[in-house]
Amino acid sequence: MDDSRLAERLKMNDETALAEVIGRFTPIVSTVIYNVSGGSLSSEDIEEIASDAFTALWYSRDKIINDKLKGFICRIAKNKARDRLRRLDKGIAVNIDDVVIEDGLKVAEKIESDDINAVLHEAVGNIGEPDREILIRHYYYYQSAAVISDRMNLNTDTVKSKIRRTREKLKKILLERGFTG
Amino acid sequence: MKQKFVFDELDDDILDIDEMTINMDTGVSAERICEKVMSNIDQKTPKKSMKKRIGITLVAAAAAAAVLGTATVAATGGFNPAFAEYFAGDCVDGIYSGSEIKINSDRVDIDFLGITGDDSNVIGLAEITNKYGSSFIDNPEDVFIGYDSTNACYKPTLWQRMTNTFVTISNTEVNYTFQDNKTLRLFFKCSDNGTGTPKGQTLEMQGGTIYAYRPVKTIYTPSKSDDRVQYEYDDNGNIVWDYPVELYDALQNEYASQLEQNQTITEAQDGGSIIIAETTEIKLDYTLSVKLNYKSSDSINFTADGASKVNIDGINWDFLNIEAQSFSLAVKIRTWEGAKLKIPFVSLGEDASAKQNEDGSYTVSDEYLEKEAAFHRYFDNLFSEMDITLKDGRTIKGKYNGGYQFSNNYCELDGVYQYYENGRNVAIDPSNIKSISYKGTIIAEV
Repeated sequence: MDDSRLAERLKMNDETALAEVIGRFTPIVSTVIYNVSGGSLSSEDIEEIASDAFTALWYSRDKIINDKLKGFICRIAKNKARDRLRRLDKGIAVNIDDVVIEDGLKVAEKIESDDINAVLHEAVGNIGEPDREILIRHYYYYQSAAVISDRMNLNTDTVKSKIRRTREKLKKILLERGFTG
Repeated sequence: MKQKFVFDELDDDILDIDEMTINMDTGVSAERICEKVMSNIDQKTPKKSMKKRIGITLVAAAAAAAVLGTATVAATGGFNPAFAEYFAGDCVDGIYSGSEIKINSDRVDIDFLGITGDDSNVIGLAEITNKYGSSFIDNPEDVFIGYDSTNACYKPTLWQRMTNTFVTISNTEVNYTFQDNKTLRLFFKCSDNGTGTPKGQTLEMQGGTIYAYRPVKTIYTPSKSDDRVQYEYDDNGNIVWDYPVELYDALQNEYASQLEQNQTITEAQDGGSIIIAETTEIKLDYTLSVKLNYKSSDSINFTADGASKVNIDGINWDFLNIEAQSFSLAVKIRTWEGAKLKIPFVSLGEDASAKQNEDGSYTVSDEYLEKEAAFHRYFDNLFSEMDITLKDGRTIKGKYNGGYQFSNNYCELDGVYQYYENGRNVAIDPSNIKSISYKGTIIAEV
């Protein structure tokens, strides 16, 4: 079953769909939580945070956009993990919300945030491989350059370089689309 | 200001990466998580224990604030005559509503409800909800029944959710899953659609089958760490589970005490969790008619919370769909034809039946004018007052006088709420709005 159908079933209050979502996304959700914590959380903590995330998913199921189920649950998991780390006073490996395209990049005041979301969405979608995968792995799944290089059979320095260049590329796209530097 | 990198908004297809190369062995168990989550949900949403047989309890019509008329009911068909009480509703300004059917089930399928009348413009509206307001508001599953006056037959294709999204139904079937205690609540509403209040008309409801199902319960969710199951990935990267026969047998034994009549352990067709499924338990076929008489006029207190719900005398309705559009706040009424009318800022240009000319003027069809007239006849006084409460605590009060007149230097211009501050007009940011409430009175014409 594809994720869109799962999302639809969740919205129809189908608890069996939630069970399927948990079976389907537990590995990625627990990985994201693990990566956010930089490995500082125990399996029990990760399991609890994941449970909280799936529970939260259930109660906010009406907000799911069908083709963004994975992004939605990962986002909840990240937020839950961050909350837990803050309570435990542990560091967060990378806070995606603090990441900016480039220092100094500004958005014209009248441009809606939705616009930049749309542009980013399009831009990331159009980035070629393996740059897209590296970018997503690094910024979305919180993988370090070392892990990415291991999983993608690339040199670590190459990965770091591609991350930097892709960021530059995104900045250029944004500037071309009317965002001011 | 710095713009955050909004990866969270990306579509799944962009995020699509071979999860096997991302996932780490964190030592967590999906099965344990599933149990914990289900337990959390169960605690917050009390469920009745599964009974051997599912019954229907009929709840007599609740007395409405304004009982305007009487209804006589005749019922035929192979079901408990008490069922008819449900339809013994009250009528308020051309609206009559029934009360409740209480069903001990998580799921109810409605397989056809129809309404006809001796006025060809009768419309019908069915709302399916549970008994208590909160879940109703959170999870509306409303259907709209249209009556096709051209060929005098039911028109099931008009069934649709009032949230403008078609229900996932096949013409005449609506599936709905209740969240908590299972009360199916149906309302039927009739309106003359502008051709005269349907005074004393006879309405008929015909046909109908209600199926109720017991809830399904997940009893086992596989995990990769469970060596009793095998799995592989299909072409789309989805896990395909393989359940050995031995596992079914083990589960059958393990959950035998939970199994009751008509229950089976089954594997969901899409793979994944094994559930206890329930087969059809209830089937009601009915035919009944309601003769309706009511007084000529009354008033209805009308409030809305800014969402798509409207509260009339304590009952939530969805026939008016209030929504913010670039914060040109518009209130839509959906007619039986599905036409959209906006109030109070009737925007003719956005209606399909109004054509914009080259000089910018609009040519409006007679049909539209008729609808608009009908609308004004019924709803001009509906929103005589409107309060906008902002998140900072400020309240903007407005009175309708052919257009809203607001206090506190607020005004409405071209459908956008604005206020005057420091020498310029500032539009209200919709994200700063906490709630919107309307108050008014309907004076029905007879």
